Amino acid sequence: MNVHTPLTRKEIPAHIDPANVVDFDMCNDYRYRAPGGPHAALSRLAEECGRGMKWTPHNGGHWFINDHELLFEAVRDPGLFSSTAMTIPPLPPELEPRAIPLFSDPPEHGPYRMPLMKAFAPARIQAMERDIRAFAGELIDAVAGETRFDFFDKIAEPMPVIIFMKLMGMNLDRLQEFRGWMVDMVSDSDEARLGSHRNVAAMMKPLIEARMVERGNDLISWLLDADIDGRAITYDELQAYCLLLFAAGLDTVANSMGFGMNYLAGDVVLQERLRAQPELIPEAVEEFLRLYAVAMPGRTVTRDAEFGGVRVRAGERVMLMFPGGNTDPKIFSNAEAFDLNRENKVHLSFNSGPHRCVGSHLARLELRVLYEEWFKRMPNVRLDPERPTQYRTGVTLAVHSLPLIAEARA
Amino acid sequence: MKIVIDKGNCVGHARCAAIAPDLFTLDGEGYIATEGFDVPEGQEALAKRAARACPERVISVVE
Repeated sequence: MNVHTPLTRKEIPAHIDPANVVDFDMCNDYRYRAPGGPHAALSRLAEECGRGMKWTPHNGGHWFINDHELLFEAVRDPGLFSSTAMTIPPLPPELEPRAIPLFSDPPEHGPYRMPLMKAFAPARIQAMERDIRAFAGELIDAVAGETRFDFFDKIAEPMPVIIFMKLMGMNLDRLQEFRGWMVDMVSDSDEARLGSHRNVAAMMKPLIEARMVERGNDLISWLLDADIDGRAITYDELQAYCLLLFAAGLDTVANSMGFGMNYLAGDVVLQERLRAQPELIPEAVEEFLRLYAVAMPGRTVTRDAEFGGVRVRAGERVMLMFPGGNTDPKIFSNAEAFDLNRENKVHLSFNSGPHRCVGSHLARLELRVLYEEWFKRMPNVRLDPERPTQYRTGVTLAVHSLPLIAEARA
Repeated sequence: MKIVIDKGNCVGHARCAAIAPDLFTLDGEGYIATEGFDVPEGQEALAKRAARACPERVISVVE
């Protein structure tokens, strides 16, 4: 289990130039979980193999794109790179999670997306700031007196889950159970992932049924009153929306917080600067987003074609390696460095094109408010030398634990 | 100076509005609500910065 098996030549399809074949195993290669973190390891990979369209025989055999311009092009070509099958390693078609609107292509994608565009529009999200600030404050206050604590366990992981549960109109008494499913959702075990999908659907069922009878002020009620091209949303579609929100909105934000704090804990000067000038926090959030993209979604090639200087065949999977695009030196100078003053922070962490992360405004708000409340309440923190940060890898880059030591206040 | 926007290709990142909310107005879904405008005097640098922040590259500056 989790053993990295190096590449064997015979597994390479004939149309793939061996020069583009790379020994890359995101799910099992321990190097991507090693100290230093997965992003640094992906940068080393790019230094070794270059940027462009590369192919690996691992995890079912798939392409990956780590070049900014090619990623920009690929995400705007859903006719060639379909979202209807995106798991890596591939699941059988009947087991692909049918989250709406993530697993669909234009033209049906647009009408499916519209109800969420309304629900997650900037103005509507902005109205949640006060509640989000209160949740962040409560979680931080709970560790404020402690010298040693795990930031991921105490803050990064629960915060988006609490916000999600509130948004869905759920009772927080099942928070712990829900957090367990969130971990299973990105497990490298198919069984655990599918189990979490079933558990989420089972938990949503009574909630959806109750809102069908009586609306509340929550996302399920808004979706029940929304329409897809003039018709009402069905129960199954509502479940598919819930699966998307659960799969795309929890673990991603938690890990983004984890990677950001992991960097901050190693840079006391930056901590002091952001505490003294909280108006710089939105810029810091963007730079953390650029450096620490967490999602590397898959696509399936729809037809034999040429793309990015290589031949691709119908049915092949392609990983959109956004962390690679975000550190492409052709686009960003000194790309690996955190630079608060960098003007160009136009990253791909929320994707772009038709599948631009519909929750990006909520994610940015959660991240900004977290750091604002953090610097109001906390002294400087540093990494715990005895308990280094632990990472998990796969199509999502994740922080597993982030032990911090809080310094005594001056 | 003018701003010209390929409105149909906006996907709602709202980065322009995050930088210059008074210049780049959004509709109820968070898409850009305008196809362009004349930049008020003194706000040229801000408008340019907002245009460069567009991840979709749909905002052009016409000098």
